[in-house]
Amino acid sequence: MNRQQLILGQLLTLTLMMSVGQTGIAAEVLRNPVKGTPTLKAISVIRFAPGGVLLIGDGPGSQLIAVVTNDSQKQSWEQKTVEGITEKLAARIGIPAKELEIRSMAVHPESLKVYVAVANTRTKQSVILTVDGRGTIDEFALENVPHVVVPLPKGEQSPVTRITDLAWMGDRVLISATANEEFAAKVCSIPAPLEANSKGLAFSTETYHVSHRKWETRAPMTTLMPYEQGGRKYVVGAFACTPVVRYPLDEVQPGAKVKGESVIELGSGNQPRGMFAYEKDGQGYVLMNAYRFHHERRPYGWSPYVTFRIELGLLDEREKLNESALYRLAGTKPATDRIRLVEEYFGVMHLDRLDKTQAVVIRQLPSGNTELAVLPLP
Amino acid sequence: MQTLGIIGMLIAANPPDLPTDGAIATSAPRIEIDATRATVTVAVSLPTNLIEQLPDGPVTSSVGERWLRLHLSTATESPENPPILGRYHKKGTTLRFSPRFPLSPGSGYQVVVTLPGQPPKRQVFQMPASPSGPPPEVVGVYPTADVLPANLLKFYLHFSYPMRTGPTVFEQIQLLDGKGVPIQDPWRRTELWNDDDTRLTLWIHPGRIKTGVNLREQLGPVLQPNQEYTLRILPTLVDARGRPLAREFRKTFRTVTPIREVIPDDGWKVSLPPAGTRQPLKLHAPRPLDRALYLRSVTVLTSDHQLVLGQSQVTSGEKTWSWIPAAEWRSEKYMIVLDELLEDLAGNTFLSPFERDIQSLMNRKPRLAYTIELCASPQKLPLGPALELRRGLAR
Repeated sequence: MNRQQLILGQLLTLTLMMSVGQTGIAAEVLRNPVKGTPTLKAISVIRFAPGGVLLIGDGPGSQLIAVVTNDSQKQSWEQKTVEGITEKLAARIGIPAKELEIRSMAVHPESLKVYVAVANTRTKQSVILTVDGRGTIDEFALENVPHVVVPLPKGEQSPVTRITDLAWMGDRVLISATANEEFAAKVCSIPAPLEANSKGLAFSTETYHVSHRKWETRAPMTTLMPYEQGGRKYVVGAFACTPVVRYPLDEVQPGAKVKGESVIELGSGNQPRGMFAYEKDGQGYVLMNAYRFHHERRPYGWSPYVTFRIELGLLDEREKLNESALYRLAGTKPATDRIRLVEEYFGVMHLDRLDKTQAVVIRQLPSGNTELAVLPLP
Repeated sequence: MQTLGIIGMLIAANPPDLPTDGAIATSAPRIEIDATRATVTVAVSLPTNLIEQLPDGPVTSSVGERWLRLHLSTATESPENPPILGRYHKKGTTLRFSPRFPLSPGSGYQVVVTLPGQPPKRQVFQMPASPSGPPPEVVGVYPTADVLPANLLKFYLHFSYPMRTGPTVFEQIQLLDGKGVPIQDPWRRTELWNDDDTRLTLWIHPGRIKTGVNLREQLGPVLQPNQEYTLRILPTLVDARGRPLAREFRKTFRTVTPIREVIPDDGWKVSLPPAGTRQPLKLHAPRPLDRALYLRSVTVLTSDHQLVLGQSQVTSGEKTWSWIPAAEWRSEKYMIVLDELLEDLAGNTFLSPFERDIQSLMNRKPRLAYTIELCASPQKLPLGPALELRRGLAR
C-alpha cells in the first residue's frame, strides 16, 4: 500500500468513525459499530463507559449492547428535584404509573443527563428515557444508533436470564448475572474494544460469605464496581446478606475459579442494588444502596431502601479478611464508624454519581410518592 | 428545510389519510382510535400562517408540542402530566400526532390544542378496554407433592397469562404456618420470570435454609419438619393487562425431614418402549427432582452420539421423566445422559449436597451415562451398571 492509499484509508476510517459519531474515547470502548436498531428482549441494567457509550445489559436476550450516544451537551442541574418521577416517566410514554417499572438508572458522564431504563409491564417493552437538568423527560430512542451487540458467553450451565449489574473496568466490561432455575453465580468478562464477534469469558468465583461463615461458589453478585490499588485491578462485588468482596482481575482466565477476599460484612437482610466510589474532603468512599428485605422485622429507618457509606480504604484491607472481615454491626449496634448508614439517603432505589459533589437518586418518599433528586454526596 | 422534509418523508411512517378541513382552521382535534394496536392518531387543522411556515413532512416534537399535545388524563382541567412522546407530521393543512408507544387500554387521555390566536381546546377520550377474556389463573405449582422436605428450595408458579412483573409480586405470595399466620420474609426477593412472564421461580431464601448460616440462626428456618404449611397466592396479583387473578390459590403441604444428601446414582429405573413405536422412554428417579431442571437435564443419544429429537415431560410427582421421540425408536442401542447439575427439591445434585462447604467437597464421580437397547417388547428395569450392554429380548 503506498502513502496516498494509506492516507486515504485513514481519512476514510476517520470519516466512517465521524459518520457513526464515534469519538476517540468511544473507540477504546467499542469497535466497528453498525448503525441500526438493536433487537433486545428486555433491559436489565444500564451503565456508562467512557465517551458516553451506553452499556445495556439484556438478561433475557443474553447479550450486551453498547451504543454510541453522541450526547455531549453538558447539563446544569439547577432543578434539584423532579417530583412524581414515576408518574411523569409513565405519563411521558402514555401509561399510568402502575404499569411502569423503573429498571435501572445511570448518569451520562459527559452530558450529566440521567438515563432511566423503564419497562411497560403490560406490553413488556423496554424504553430508555432521559431526564435533563430542567426536569424535562425525553426518550433516548434505540433507533438508527451506532451500536455493537455482544452475545454473552454461554458457559457450561444454564443460560443467563437476569443480569444483576455490569461495569466498565478499563479494559473490559464485567457482567454479574444469575440463573433462573439454579442457584448459581455467573460473571462474564468481555474484552474491550467491544465488537460483534467479541469472545467473552464466563468464569466462576469462590467467595467467603462472611455472615454465612462459609466459602461459596453459587451466591450471585448483585452489584459490582471497578477498583484499583497498588497498580492491581480488582472488581469489587457485593452480595445479599451482605459481604463486600474484591476479586483480582488478573486471575480471570478461561476455566479459572477466581478467589475473592471478603473485606466487609454489612449485616444480614440486605440486597445490594448499586454502588460507586467518590471522594469527599480528601477521603475516598463507596456509596451503596440496598433493599432491606428484613425491613418489617428489623427496620433501619422508615423505608426498606437503605444506603451505606463505606470508607474506600477498607477495600485495601490485607489482613482482616474473610473469617476476620470487618462487621458493620456488633449485634444490633454499629461496630465501626468507618461504615455508616446514610439517613439522608433513606428510600433510595436507584443511584449514580452526578459529579464530584453530588449524586442523582430515584427515591421513595415517606408520603409514598417517588422523586428524582440531586443530593450532596455524604 | 425542504431537504429535511424529503429526508423525513423517506424515514417517517406514512400517516393515515384523514380528511382535511381546507380553508378554515378549526382547532377541534380529530381523533382516530386503533384499539387493536392500542394507539391513536390525532389531527388538527392548522391556521393559514402555520400552514405556510411549516413544510410538509415530519415536525420535531419541540415544535409540534407547542400546538398539539396528548396527555394521560388527570382529574384537573390543566394536565399536570407531561405530553406523551410521539411523532408529528404535517401534510397540507393538517398536523397529525401519533404516540410513540402503545397507550393503556381503558385509560383516559386528553388532547390539548393551543393554536396561535385561539383559545386552548381540550378533548378527552378513553381508550377502549382490552377485549374481555378470562382473568389469569394459577395453572400449576411445582413441586406437586403434598409432602415436601423441610429444606425445599423453590416453587415454580405457572400462570395462564403473562403477569405484571415488579418487586410487589413478593408481597402477594405468602407462606402460612399451620395456624394460618404468614411467615415473615420467606422469599429470596429476586424476580426470576421465564421468557413470557408466565412462570415465576419463587425461591425460599437460601440463607434461611442452610444450617450454620447466621440468617437462619437469627430468624430461624422458613420451614420446619413435620409441620403443615400453605402456599397462598393472593387474588390481588395481576397480569400484564392489569387483571387480577380469578381466585386466590392455595397449596397446603406437610414437611418431612430435610434431604441433605446427594442424588444417588442407584435406585433409578428405566421403562424401555418397544422398538418401532413412539411410545415414551421413561426414567424413574429415586426421589422427586426439580421439574424445570429435570425437563432439560436428560439427553437421549443414538449409539453414534446423535441427538434423538423429541419432547420431554415430567410427571408422577416430579419423579418420572419421559421422552417422546419425534421418530420411531429403532431396535438398537441408545444412550441416556444425565446432567450432573440436575437437582432435587432441596438443591442437592449428583455431585454435592446443596449445603456444601466447598473446602470439604467430596470428590464424587457419579455415573451419569447409560446405554440401553430397545427391542420389540417394553421393559422396566433398574438403571445402573447392570444395565450396561444388557440385551433385551430379540424380535
